[in-house]
Amino acid sequence: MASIDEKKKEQVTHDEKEPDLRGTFISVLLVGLFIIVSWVLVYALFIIR
Amino acid sequence: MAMEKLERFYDKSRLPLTISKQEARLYMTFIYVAFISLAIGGLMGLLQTLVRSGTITLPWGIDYYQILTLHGVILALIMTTYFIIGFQHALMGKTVGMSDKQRKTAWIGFWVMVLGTTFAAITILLGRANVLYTFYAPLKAHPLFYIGLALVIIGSWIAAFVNWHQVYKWKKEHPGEKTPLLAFMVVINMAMWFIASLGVAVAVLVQFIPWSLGYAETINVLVSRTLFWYFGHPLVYFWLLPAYMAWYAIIPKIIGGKIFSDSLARLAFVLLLFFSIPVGFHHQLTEPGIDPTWKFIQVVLTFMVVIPSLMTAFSMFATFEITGRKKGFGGLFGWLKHLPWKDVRFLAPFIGMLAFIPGGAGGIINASHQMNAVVHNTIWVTGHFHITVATTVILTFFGIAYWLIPHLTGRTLTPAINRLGIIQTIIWTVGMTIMSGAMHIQGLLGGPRRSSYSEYGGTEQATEWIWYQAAQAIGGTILFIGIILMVYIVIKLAFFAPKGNEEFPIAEEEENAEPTPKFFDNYKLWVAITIALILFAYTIPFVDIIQNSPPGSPPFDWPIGNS
Repeated sequence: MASIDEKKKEQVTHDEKEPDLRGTFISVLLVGLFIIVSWVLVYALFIIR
Repeated sequence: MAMEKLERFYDKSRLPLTISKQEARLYMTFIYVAFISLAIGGLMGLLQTLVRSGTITLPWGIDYYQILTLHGVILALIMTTYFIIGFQHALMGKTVGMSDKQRKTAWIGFWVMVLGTTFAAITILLGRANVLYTFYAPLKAHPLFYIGLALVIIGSWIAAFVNWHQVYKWKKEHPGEKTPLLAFMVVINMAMWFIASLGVAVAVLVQFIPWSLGYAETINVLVSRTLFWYFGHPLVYFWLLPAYMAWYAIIPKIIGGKIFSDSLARLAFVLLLFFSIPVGFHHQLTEPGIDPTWKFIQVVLTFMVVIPSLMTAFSMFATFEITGRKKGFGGLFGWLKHLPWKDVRFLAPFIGMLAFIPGGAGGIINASHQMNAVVHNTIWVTGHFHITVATTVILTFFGIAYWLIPHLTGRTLTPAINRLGIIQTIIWTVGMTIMSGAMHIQGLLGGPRRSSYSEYGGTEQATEWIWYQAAQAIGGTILFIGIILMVYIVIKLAFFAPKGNEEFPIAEEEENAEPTPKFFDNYKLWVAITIALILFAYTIPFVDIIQNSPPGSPPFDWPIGNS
């Protein structure tokens, strides 16, 4: 069972504003896109050879 | 209660600890060996690219495969292992402390490694171990080569036992507290290393040494290769995890930020422990004699590693963005402007992080089962591990060296050395982009790896390759200039930089960070799950390999090997 301190801390944390991570979101999407494009290009080589 | 403990944990008077002179000598000795190895291995790399491009032929009867073996062994096995152990010992000394007894034991580990390194070096330099760093059977080296490698591994185990004992002792003295993040990471990395290197130790002790001594007439090639890759894949994570340690827990301090999430960092390390070992078959996808079903299962397990890798990417971007926004930089990517681009302690590892994007993408392609046929045994693979270990990992290690060496030698990183470091980083990036890029493209065109210069009987396909080999020689030459510069910087930082107190940057959590769950310190559970996954992934196919093996092979020590 969580202690009172922990519960208080949880409460405090949830009340705070979430950090703005729009840039991070776009960045990881770009990383994902790079991975997919690279993979598809080599996959195309695999298929046509 | 939990908050109290957390406060005690962040009592700034206790952490980080001070490193004594005796400790500093131990850590620096490992680092010296690492950079001497870098200089020798780098020269071999340059010679290789010049031979492969048809620019030079080696004098005095030196064989191409001799320098290739030296390059691989000294950089992939020696340089990395010494740097990692020196760095990890320093992290442990700084976060949980190192007793006199532990330090003396660590020195024993060092000398055992040096003895092994000497044995292996002598055999390679005499041309009696031209078996490349993978030492695939049935190529046979001089027995001393295998004995040397075994001693290097045993020495590294001693380092692991010291690190585990450090945490064990610290936890006894700090009941109920979580292991400091960097110490936790070292424990996980050494657990992975120990479990993984058991495989190669068995191969060397049970198969290679008796066979090379002539006590066994034949060797089971498939078993030896399977045991090698059981070790060989986690080996790359053994290189990578210390870079992750710097990314998660040191870089935030350098950029003036905080750790994004202590729990996320620990979870990433635990997942890497789970999924870095039961995946060796993805290096053996074209290997006959392994059931395709088990290859497929290990491919799936390999892809699980994508999760902690992307968690790391997310965590890094988030650290940069949160820090930048706190400093008042707005917009979608305005936070990029706050990053200390002129601080080499940041720039070198940052370029290492960027290199891991194509590095990771290449890794996914390599491991994609049937698609592996496009790149298998081509120089694409060489390009892949030069962009991962020789860029991501090495640039991070260089980034660490800029503050670790002066911290340990009681000197400072001056603006002039910092500027030289930035030039070094740029030289490395340009050289590696050219060399690794050319390797990737040549590999897709079918260019083989490992082979010496050949015109392949003038075939049309081979004529396409030569330009890329020339580009690799250009890139290799630029990289060698980078190595000379780095060695100069290391000498300067260790012996000639002004005396002073260089910071050992260790990042802290946000004041209002959520407490890390206690279960992360349950090391037994993580090791048990790892062993269960290994048993699941390897037991049935390994028994199958042993029961249905083709006849063993007698040794081949000619034209390369031990001749």
